[in-house]
Amino acid sequence: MAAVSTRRLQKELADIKNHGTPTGITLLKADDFETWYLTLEVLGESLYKGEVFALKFRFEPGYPISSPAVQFVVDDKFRAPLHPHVYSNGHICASILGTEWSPVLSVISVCITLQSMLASCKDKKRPPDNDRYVAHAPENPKKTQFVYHDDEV
Amino acid sequence: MNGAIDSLLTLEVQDPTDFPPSSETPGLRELDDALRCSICGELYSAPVSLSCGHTFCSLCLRDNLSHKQECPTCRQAASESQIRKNIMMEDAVKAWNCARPLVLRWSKEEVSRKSRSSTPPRSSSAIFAHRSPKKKRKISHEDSDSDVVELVGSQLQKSRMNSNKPASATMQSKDLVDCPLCQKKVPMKSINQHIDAQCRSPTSSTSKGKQKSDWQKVFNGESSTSNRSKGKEKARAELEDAEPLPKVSYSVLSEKRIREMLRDHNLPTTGDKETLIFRHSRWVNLYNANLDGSPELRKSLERLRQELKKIENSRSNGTKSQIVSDVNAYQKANKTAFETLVEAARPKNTSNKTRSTSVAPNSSETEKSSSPPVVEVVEVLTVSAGE
Repeated sequence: MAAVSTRRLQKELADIKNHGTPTGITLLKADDFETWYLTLEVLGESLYKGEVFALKFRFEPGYPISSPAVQFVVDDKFRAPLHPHVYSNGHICASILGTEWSPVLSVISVCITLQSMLASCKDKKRPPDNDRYVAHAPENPKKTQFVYHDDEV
Repeated sequence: MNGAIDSLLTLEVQDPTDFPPSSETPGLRELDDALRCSICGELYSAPVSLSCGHTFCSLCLRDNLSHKQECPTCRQAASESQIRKNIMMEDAVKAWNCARPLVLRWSKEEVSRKSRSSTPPRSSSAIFAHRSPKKKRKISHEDSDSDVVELVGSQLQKSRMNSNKPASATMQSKDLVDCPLCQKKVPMKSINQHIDAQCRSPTSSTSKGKQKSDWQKVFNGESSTSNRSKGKEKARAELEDAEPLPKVSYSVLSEKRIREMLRDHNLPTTGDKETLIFRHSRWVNLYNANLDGSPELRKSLERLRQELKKIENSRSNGTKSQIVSDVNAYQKANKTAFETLVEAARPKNTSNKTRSTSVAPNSSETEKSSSPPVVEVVEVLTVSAGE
């Protein structure tokens, strides 16, 4: 029997394949059970109309008990969205990716949460401490101890 | 991209989406989903409930509670003391385990029967759902003879039973399921015939092994099942009156004490304190979760040890960058890197000889081993040797 994380991810993948993904979310790349890429788009009226973002998921063997490392892809093709909770290096300050992670959540449910986080944004700007954070940020966002202070956006 | 996904899905994984969507067969996906743990996605194994009413596999929940003390679904505060066995759910899962392959087949037949008159079956989902190529061929064959629906259906069943015959002799234990009525081990595929025949063995499966055990039954009625279940019974007895292990607050214990506790359970005592704590806490979870299952489904302690080993391996694979399989090749490949490191370490080595020998006890063998990468190799190797 394969590891729990592999089996769980296989199920999620089978679900994506059989059920499809919600609108605005597509599976970009899933070559193994360690790193997946998905694209995210906010449909309808929002500040991010017409913008497409890519999300990178990294899974540990402890998944789904331990949360996946999720960040926006920043490369020559994709940018991180301009949002008060998203740093310019792609790191996301969202409680469900840290302390509020629950093993019943899945890749798709995380995507939907982030989609709605973007959709409800009223002011496109970087977090106030962006430059300081980005200068010293670890490569893996899971190593950051975010302080979740803002339930509004 | 789809090709890559398919290759990832080659391992057999059951999922509610094996069943047709609820527009075709209402409730089947939901039923399958309702009997699955929302943490691991498998059918519940040793299901337990919290006081909020949510149910999970015992092991999944215990692992998660040692991470975070709340219900994964509703986030209500939860603790180990709230855990209650959900015996009825376990029975339901047991029955569904038996019925699932059959219901799955029926649901497929229903869908293809429905669609035959109107449109051709949605091939993509059909192919995806039928894991074994043998099955796939038969279904498509059935599709082509649209006139003789019922007849072909029963022939199909028969031919499948026949094709099972040679396989049943070498049947692996995972293909065997407990009959819900008589608790006998029965091949998953013939469970239905078995129940229909009031728990007598189906006539079709008179393979040699079966015959032998049948004869044994005739000769000494009582001990018919003894051979198979003796070892199991013993394992069961050691678990029957077992008490769940208490939780341990490791931070107040010395490394030595944790080693002792591991030794009490016949577990390896290698590794640093963090590894020891990981090992022991996982063992407590495995052990207690095992006790939450019904006695006949419990695993032996030896089996639990193997599972613990597997968990530890996958953990070390994740944290350690790589495991060196061929030391000589690795040393050759990284020779220059080693040499520069040795060079860099030399002046320190002469000035501080006592320290370096304590770091690498086998430094008398090679001078090199005082350099960090070699030490790492040695360490990694002992880890893999201890597995």
